[in-house]
Amino acid sequence: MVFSSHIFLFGFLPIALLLYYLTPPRGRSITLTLLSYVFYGWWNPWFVLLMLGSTLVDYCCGGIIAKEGQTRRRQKVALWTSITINLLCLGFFKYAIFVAGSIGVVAGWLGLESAAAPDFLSQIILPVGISFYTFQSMSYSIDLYRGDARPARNFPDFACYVSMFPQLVAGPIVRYASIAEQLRSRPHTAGGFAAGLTRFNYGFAKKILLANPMGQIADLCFEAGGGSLAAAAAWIGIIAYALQIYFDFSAYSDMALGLGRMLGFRFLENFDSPYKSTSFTEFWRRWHISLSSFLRDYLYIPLGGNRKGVLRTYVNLLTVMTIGGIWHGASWTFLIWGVLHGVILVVERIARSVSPVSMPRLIGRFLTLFLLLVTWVFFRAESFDIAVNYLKAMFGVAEAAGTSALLNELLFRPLVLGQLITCLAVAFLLPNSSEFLGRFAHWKMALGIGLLVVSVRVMAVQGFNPFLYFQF
Amino acid sequence: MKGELSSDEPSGGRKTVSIQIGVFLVLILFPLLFFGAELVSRDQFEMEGQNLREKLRYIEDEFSKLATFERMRDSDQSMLTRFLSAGNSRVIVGGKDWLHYRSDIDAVIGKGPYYAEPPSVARAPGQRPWKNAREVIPEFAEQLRDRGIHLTLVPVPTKSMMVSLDGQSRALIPSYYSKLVAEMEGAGVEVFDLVTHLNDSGSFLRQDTHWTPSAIKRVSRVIANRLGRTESSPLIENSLELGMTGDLVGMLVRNRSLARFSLMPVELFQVVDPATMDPVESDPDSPWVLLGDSFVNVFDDPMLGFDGANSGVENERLGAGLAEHLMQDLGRPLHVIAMNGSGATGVRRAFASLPDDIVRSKERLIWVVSARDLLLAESPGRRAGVEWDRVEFSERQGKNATIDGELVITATLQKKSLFGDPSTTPYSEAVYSAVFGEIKVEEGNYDQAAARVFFWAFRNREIEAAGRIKVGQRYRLTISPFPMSGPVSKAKQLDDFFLPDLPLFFADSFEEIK
Repeated sequence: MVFSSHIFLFGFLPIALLLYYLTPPRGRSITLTLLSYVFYGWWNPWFVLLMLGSTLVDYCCGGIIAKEGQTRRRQKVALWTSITINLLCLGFFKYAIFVAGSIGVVAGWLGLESAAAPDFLSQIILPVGISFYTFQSMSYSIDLYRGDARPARNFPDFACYVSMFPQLVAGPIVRYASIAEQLRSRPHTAGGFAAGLTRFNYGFAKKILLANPMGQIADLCFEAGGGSLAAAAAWIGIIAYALQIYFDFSAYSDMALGLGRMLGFRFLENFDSPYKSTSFTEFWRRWHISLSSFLRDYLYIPLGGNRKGVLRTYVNLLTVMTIGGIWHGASWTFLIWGVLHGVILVVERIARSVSPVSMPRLIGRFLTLFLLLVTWVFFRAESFDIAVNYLKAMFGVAEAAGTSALLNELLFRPLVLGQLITCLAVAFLLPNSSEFLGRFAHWKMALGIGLLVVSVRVMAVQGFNPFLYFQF
Repeated sequence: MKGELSSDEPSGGRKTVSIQIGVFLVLILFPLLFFGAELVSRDQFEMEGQNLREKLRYIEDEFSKLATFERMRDSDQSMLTRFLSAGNSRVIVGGKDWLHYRSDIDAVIGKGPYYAEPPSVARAPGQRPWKNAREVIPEFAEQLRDRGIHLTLVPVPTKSMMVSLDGQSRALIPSYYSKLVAEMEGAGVEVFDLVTHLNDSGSFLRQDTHWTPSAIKRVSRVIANRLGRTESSPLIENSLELGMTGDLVGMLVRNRSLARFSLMPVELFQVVDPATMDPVESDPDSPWVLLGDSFVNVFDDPMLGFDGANSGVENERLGAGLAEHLMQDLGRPLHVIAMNGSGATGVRRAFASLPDDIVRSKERLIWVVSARDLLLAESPGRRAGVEWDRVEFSERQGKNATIDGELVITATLQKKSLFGDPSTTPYSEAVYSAVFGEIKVEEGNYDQAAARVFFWAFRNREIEAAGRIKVGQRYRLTISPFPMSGPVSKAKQLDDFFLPDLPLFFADSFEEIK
């Protein structure tokens, strides 16, 4: 079930809100957990067992780590048990096919007879959101081990933390320490509910009215082949994709924050107008903030961060970004995307350290945007070859065929250009959701309800409502 | 429990806030109540699906098909089209009211049949491996050759290849089209390329995916010239003027009267028998076979592109399609097997299901299929419902394999083909196959252990009662051999189980045995 669907908005959500608020406050976390299992099991009921298993492992490991008088050695064993099981789970479901396929390719390059990947691998279905909840689950054990969090009061609280439906499938990644108190007790006020539903409504509208039309344009361009992609079309396509992924992802975060708020929770912001950044370093402070801070705290800093010399800092940055890339999807293109971001971050650091003057903000902004667009090509393309061909088209290296006339006709229609300009204006000129809704106004709430109505009607018509996070 | 007030929460105006929360809750609760009421009002409600996952999908589908949403969908689409020239995921609104089918466009500008999608592309669970025309056609030609039949493949260029978005004629031929044609010819398949014969402004219809009646006439002559045209056909032409809505309008809105698009006047050229003045019929005994899709059926099948009584068309054959013109131009009867949306596989299956001695009595097979089916890569191909499967020919022999007349049986439904939401399919009518076992014959003769029966899945984008039969349930069925003409024979076939040694039936009626 995805937020931008009839069954969620008009089926699951009203029932969930009713059941949640009819439950006495002490039992609301249990109700929320059960509702979250229904929400998650909607994709595939078996996935609930997987999540439950992961939750149990981390709860037990956490219990061992947090037990008073526990030896450091046992704590370590428990911590590594939790990390290993979570990573094995993630590795099996997400990366097994990719690894097997890659071994076959490498074997082919080496001229070895490659064994075909076992048949059962092709039957593996990636459990939606597994990358999010395994990270969350692991962070609990790590925080306990580090002494950054107190153990969960009871299993239902912890299960609620892992499974909470508002942020389960597309984040933001919530750390246990940041939510432990709210699991214990949280305020349920009409004001908070109003703020939550307003945030949800704007997120819903952003997904349907902004992200989806951009997705249609991007799909047209990325599905083009046979020389149909001329330079202008390629640029329009990648700009549309950059807008799609931002609006889509931030819309899901808005909806998650809004839903959480309606249930009394406050999650941290996940996006902060990332395309207004003047450098990649700044971009990663504004884009998918919960992931970048997770990688910083659980990977970059434990690797030594910037405390072990310049060279080691660069290696750490590259490592973290490469892992961040492959976290997004089991494909070489995601890996390359991560490496490129790592390299750019390293180059930025070098430039900052050697240059006595900083780059003018405007130039920095354009350069950052330009490089973001180039790297998004790898993120969106189905394969390395497609990405390279797309880049060739963008830079006019590839010769366009006669069929490019049809793609150009499709893209240069007033409707498409109007949608593109509107989305660019929203991304670059208007305040983001958090800024806009940071101060409550009745008209904003009313506008949000109006936008919800319009979006629901457009959603019914569009027939195009992709869910980008299947592979995350 | 009271919390601290933050700036994103209302500091006053509690009444206004309460009203707005109330409005929100009513908005999200109303469809749920409506859904509940709709379920209660049904005589019986049983969730379809063989496991919990399928049952959940069923609930979700039913929910999004709520009458309220359906009604809104049509009027909203009409408004969006009228004021913003917005199409939907299947129809592109071009200039001067020209409509284009998105899959046609994908076939022209897409990655083509030479592209193999990497495993990282998300696929629905349980999806069958993708095959494309390149693998299947040479094998089919070989199968025919083994049976003494010569194949002539006639790919029909899509509208988007021949017409710009605003209706200007032109020829945009993707590089992979020429490559594919050359590859097929290299594999010994005779390919008849129509591109140069459809390169004028009157070849395609403004609001429909198909060609015009005059283009059909022209193409028929061109094919006949190549295969042996006659000037002395006893058949005669009868001109007829009608108003046509166009299938693309039907893909935009279900209630076509809501669309801003007016009826297109079309002049049809019916080919009739001068003795009866009835449209010429397919002849199953002819040694020449015509396989085809909706490009063969258009202007014969009254369901294609016409809006029933509004267009002045009743449920009678029009007799102005490619098959009828070919019969006139060739001066010989044709055994016609043409199904809308099933030109790639369904028609080949139907042909291969014929008894072996009947198949071997054929000499030539003309296969007219949309170039769209040949050119789409995997993902757009799946979206368009294109299937390329290899077929096995039946080994049954004709005389004892033919069943005449109706049978009445009681049997248990063992499996049935799946079909998607009819509001999202490119075709508005479809039949689907089901396999029955534990057969008890009540009337007629039938000695097989299983029966392969087709039912209507949906008509006019509404799921039929026959579309909801349940696996494991016992039924009393009145079945007859699958018709070779009429609406059933032309409808899209959804068939997950190809069992060439079982005769094909169509269910005239059925009832559940309690």
